[in-house]
Amino acid sequence: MSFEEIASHAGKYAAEIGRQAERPAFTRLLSRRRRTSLVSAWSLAAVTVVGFVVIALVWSPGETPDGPVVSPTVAGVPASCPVTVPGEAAFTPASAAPDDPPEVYDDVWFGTPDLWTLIDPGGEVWSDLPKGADGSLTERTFWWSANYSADDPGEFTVTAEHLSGTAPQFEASQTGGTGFNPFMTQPTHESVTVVGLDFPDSGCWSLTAEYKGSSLSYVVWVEDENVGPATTVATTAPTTTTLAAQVPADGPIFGEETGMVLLLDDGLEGLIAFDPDARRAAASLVEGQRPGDEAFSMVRIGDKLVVGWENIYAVDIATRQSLSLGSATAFVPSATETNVWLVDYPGGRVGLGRPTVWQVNSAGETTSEPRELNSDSLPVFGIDGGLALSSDEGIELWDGTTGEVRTLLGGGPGFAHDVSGDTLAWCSEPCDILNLTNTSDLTSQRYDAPEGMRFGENAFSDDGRYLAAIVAPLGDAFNGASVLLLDRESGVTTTFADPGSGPIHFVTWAPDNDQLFATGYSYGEGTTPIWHYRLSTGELTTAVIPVGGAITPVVIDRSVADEYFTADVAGF
Amino acid sequence: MFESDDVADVRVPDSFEVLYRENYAAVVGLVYALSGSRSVAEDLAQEAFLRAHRDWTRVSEMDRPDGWVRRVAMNLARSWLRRLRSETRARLRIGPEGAISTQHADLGSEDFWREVRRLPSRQAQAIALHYIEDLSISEVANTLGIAEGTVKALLHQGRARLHRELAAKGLVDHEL
Repeated sequence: MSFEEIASHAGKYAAEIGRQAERPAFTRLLSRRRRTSLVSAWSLAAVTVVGFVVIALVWSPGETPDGPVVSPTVAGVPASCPVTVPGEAAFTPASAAPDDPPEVYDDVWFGTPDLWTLIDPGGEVWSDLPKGADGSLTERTFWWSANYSADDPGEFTVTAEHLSGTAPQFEASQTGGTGFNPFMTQPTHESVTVVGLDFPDSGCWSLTAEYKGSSLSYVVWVEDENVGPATTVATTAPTTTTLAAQVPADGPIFGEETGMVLLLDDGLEGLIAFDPDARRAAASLVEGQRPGDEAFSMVRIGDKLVVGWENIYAVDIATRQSLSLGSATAFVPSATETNVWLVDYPGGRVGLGRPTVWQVNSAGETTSEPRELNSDSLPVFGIDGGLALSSDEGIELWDGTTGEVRTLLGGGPGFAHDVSGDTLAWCSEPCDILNLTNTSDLTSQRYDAPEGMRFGENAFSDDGRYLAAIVAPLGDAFNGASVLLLDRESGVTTTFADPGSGPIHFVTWAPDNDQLFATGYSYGEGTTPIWHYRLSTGELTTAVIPVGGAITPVVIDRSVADEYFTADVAGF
Repeated sequence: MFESDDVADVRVPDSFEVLYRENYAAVVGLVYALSGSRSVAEDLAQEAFLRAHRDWTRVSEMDRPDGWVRRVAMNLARSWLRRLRSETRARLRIGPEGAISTQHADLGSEDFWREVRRLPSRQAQAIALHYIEDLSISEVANTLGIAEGTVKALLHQGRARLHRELAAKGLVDHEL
């Protein structure tokens, strides 16, 4: 057989496998995604300006909730099936976990600190389940435990008993059936056990999970296609935060020329360059960014952009020539302007085990020997001689030479935002206090947010004199946010805002130390609010540009931005 | 802190449904060739379409949304393989034997794709697109977002290396 013959045959074979694959209704995929994306919502919530800080899901054991409440009144389910309704037994995890699953999931926690899951507060009724090759009805279940340890993951089993009495009992484990998903990329999945269940029949099923001596049971109703009680799924109109574009009729967007161009990570496969003076924007690819990759992975290091996950690249801002800095799970900025820290986790999953960390400069040269981080906390920023780590209780400062770890207690999960010289800006949940801590002697200045407010992202000017911080109402998703500007020399603070131009999430300084931009997170939107503030005049100008998809911004001098406007340029 | 971009409603635009219906099988086949696992192929294909749906406002404006989905799927396959290998090395309980089923397989084709998966990822992707979907050089270039000349080089290098490996196993003639 010739090469072309076997290649052609193999191609047809793979294509046939694709054709044989069951194509589930897309709405069903969305429903499943609601569950699998649960963790991604948390990881997004914990992202800082460098982009990958994730709260490790660790809870303290000790609480023993009431037992399950069984109700025969679940709509559409036969009274003979005691579907579990959590009712007052809904469980509130301690520590870093949110009190409830994010609202979008319409579920509540259920269980104990030793073992819990999430279920519908009205009882679990599973319909339109995808079918396995043998005709079984398949569904994924999600389980958490405060006793989980990456070093000792233990055996996890779920036993399903058919209360309707016609199907045999079966058992699934973490490694069996369709359950375990080794490719799940979200960093916090290391503490979530996903168990797939293949139900041989529809009807009433009791599920019992067992893990490290603890067990948890609940009862679900499983429907077959076109069989069983009808259910009505309430749909709600989609909400949108899209704003109408608001730009002046002509001339520079911000009234005067800024001499700057904003580069915005578009979260898809490249960046959006926005030139407010020439009223134009362009999308382009940056080597190292990949379609569908995680967002929040672009920062400016000196005259380079650093991008990428798994393979990290430095891209010369002016020429756009890229250079591989190495293979690592992620990167964080270093305290040295020309360096970054590469962070490589076992298996490529952030948070799974302890990473190996090392510094490289923008020429790709290793400037510190790789060594294992002797802490379970997550690297977020380089500091002088080491790393700032996000922990469940605040911030840890790791000395890269001695391995010493010093803890800055904050009372909750810590968020490090920026570093200037030996000063680290950080806060801990709920971020109503902003700390500026000297990483050498640990002395701190503390700034209280106005009552009912919290701090969001913040950034030092390049010269370190100013700190700009987003201030937003507690729990209000950045609606009504303002920018607080601190002059570190005089101690004077200034606050400015334009609530009418939409929520803003990021602050970034121009390299001239005089201009400050605040931008909105517009991933999935068609417009982006941008504020421009000039220190020398104290003037705030705002606009909503007709370009969406913007995430973390980087400001560069307009004189080195020509390479970003060679194609796909839109004027407005 | 930020508003989630997760699925908050179940609207599926008609244009997306068409993309999903017409390309799902092809994307599964593509990922199967690159991952060696049917179940993984289906999951990764679904994940790629979910990402396209999440950003449909923008993806739909691209010249080739179908190409974007393929690139996402291939990147997911590459990440999956990398993790699988790392995790196996780390002696976690995930082994390739457990993930890759060869039941009812066409062993000659399986051998072919096994060798493809040992190629550098870009070569493997180009080979898969070319032979599974019968895409032209131009179409492969568009899908991978690289120049046609690069595709030619990738295909040439990939085929030459594959031929050597398959010939050594006696699966193909020695003349390319």
